[in-house]
Amino acid sequence: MSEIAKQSPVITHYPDAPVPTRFTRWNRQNPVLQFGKFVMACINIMMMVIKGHEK
Amino acid sequence: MARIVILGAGVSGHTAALHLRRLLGRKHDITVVTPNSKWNWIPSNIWVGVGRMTAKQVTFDLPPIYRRKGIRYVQALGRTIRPHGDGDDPTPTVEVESTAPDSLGELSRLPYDYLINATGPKLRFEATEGLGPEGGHSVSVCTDGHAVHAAEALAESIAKMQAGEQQKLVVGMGHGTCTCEGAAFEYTFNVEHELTQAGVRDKAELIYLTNEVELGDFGVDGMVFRQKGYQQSSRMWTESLFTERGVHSILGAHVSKVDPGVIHYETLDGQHHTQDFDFAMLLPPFGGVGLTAYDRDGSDITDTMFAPSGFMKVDADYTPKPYEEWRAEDWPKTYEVPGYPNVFAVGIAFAPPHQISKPHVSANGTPIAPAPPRTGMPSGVMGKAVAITIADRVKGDPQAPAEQASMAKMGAACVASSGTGLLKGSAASMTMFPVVPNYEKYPDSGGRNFSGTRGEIGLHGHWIKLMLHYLFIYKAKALPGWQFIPE
Repeated sequence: MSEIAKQSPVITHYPDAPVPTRFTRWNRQNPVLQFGKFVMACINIMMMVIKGHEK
Repeated sequence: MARIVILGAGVSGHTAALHLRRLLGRKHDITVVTPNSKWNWIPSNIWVGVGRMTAKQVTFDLPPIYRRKGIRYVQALGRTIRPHGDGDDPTPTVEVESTAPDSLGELSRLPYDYLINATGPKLRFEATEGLGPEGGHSVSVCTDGHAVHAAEALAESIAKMQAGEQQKLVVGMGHGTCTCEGAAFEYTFNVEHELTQAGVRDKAELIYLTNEVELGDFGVDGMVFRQKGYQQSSRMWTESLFTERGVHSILGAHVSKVDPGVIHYETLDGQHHTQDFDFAMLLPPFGGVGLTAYDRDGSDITDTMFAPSGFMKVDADYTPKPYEEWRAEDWPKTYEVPGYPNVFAVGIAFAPPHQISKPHVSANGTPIAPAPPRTGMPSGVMGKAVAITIADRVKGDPQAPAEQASMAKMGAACVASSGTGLLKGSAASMTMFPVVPNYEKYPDSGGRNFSGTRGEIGLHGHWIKLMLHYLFIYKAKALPGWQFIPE
């Protein structure tokens, strides 16, 4: 078996990927802040639906 | 009176049927042919697959809805299209085979003036030896029944972890040409969430096995976002999530065989590997449902109407060309079948002109490339567009121009759940515009418009996915005001 074949293709982590801070993780689950984002995301989706199709 | 036959009652077929009834009134005959008597909101199957929803919560009976709307319902499989009739009779027909218990296997012919092929996919578990829950060694969440089985298998695995055993769980794609990477991504993180909730996360190695060359591709060539003054990519975003949650990954993989507890796969470098597992949810590749077509003289015209994959050819540019020459304009706009202006194919049933992501081939020549997704929001938009085209032609000019709904000119919202729970859930909510990137128009932003391409992860994404679950089931039941809920 070659050296390449012995290497596992399973990637266990991505060293260059940014990992969220504790504050970001808290932000993501904070119901009050997330309610604001929910409203904004709904508006964003609705705007896309209303604009619809690029003629 | 016009006769309109719709093959399939998934998102696009059912949407087309409801809009046709709304636009045409009851004096025209609308028939829906579908082998299943239940409608399934498939995006929520991932929650059934982790035991957080029941099959009943994601399905409902179609016949009462069609009775109420005056739509004829035929429980059958579409088999053969005769677009010019047969022998002396020039009436176009489609032959169907009954799947109803009282007439199982009986063949009948339905005449039509307009035909919509919205048959969805054939789940091709047979493309990979040992794949799938029926005779194979992996589970699936493609149907509500499969998802219930997956939830039972996951619960068994969690019980073993609670008893102190280590477990390996693999979630992903069961073939190099699969689509729906987003669904596998969602299921991966819902499983991860359940393991954490059960207090056994440290007992599990969770691996996402995919045909994507890099994370965040999702079969749409990834996305580029503008956030806080920087360009960010779905790749960076996804790699971050995998690192944060400790989920491992295998990229650019083609699964060739699944044995009990062992997945055999090939990677792009041509190497063959095995991955042992205790629980594996692997999606199958999709194919056309095997419709055939015959001309009036009995000659086989299946190759004229269908691509080799079994999907129906529509108004796309199918000229084979290298990736560098692919254009957004190659994608279909009206979903009319060339030469048959009264036949349409929508949703998964139409043959895409090519992939959206850059295709790759392993060193051994095995294609490893995500097939383009044609589900969800675009599917509904196509169904509605074709309904408008047919209604215009039935009510007025039979040559009226077709309504357009090109995936290269429409946006889509995609909400990828990464765990459920009203306060503990989360999801990545994304919008992209257009679905098929236009690199000539948007050369510096990944082929898409920054103002329509956004993404964010958090609890709000879970709320959006839950809201869409209830909204779309309400719409599909054609309850009062359904038409005001956009596709």
